[in-house]
Amino acid sequence: MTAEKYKPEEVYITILNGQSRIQEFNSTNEDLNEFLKKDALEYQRLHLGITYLLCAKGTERIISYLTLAMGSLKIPDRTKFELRGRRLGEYPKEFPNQFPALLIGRLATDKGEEGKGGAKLLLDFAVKTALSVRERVGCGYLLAHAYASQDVIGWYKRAGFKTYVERIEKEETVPMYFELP
Amino acid sequence: MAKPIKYVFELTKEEAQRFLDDVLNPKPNPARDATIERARRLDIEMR
Repeated sequence: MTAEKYKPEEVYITILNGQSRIQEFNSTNEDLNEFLKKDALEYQRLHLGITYLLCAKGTERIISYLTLAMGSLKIPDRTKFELRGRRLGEYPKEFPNQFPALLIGRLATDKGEEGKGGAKLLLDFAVKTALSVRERVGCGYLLAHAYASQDVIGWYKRAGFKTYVERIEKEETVPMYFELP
Repeated sequence: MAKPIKYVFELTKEEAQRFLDDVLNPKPNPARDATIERARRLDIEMR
């Protein structure tokens, strides 16, 4: 049976603070739970990431959370690449070897709220934020570390993310990127 | 402490070549376009 999806008017987004009810949050991933409960406020204090909570109106319960920061996509050994069939002799005049991006540092949903579209609403919020950020600072991509399961990677791919990583079996997370238009 | 956020994505040479090919010759991505349209219309209360 498919769970009923949250409509945007049934929820709100708020930035994590010392009064947020984070101890009730419980996703299927312990690392994501621990980050929210133990680290997220400190990341915020140190300007390492801002955590947004998607909450249900009425119950104020946290459905999902999202942590955003700036990141970059780095390509190695730039002199050995080819562009349009020729070696990049004049690289990096033509291209930098890092591409600035908005980074989804964490994205998680409470166990009891899975399948109701909460993470998708926060992903849309991240895309909307990225579109806004890139009007003011260099930012061509939205990046995410997807946990290396076909379900999670498939979820990001259905939203338009790509990955060129072939080491899915070995890594715990897979870097995925979404090109901003 | 949870695992730290990784701020830099380092691609291997082969992955980066595919990425660069795509940057210079982008292919249609209807899933991305749909997400962007949805994101632009998103209207959620901020508190």
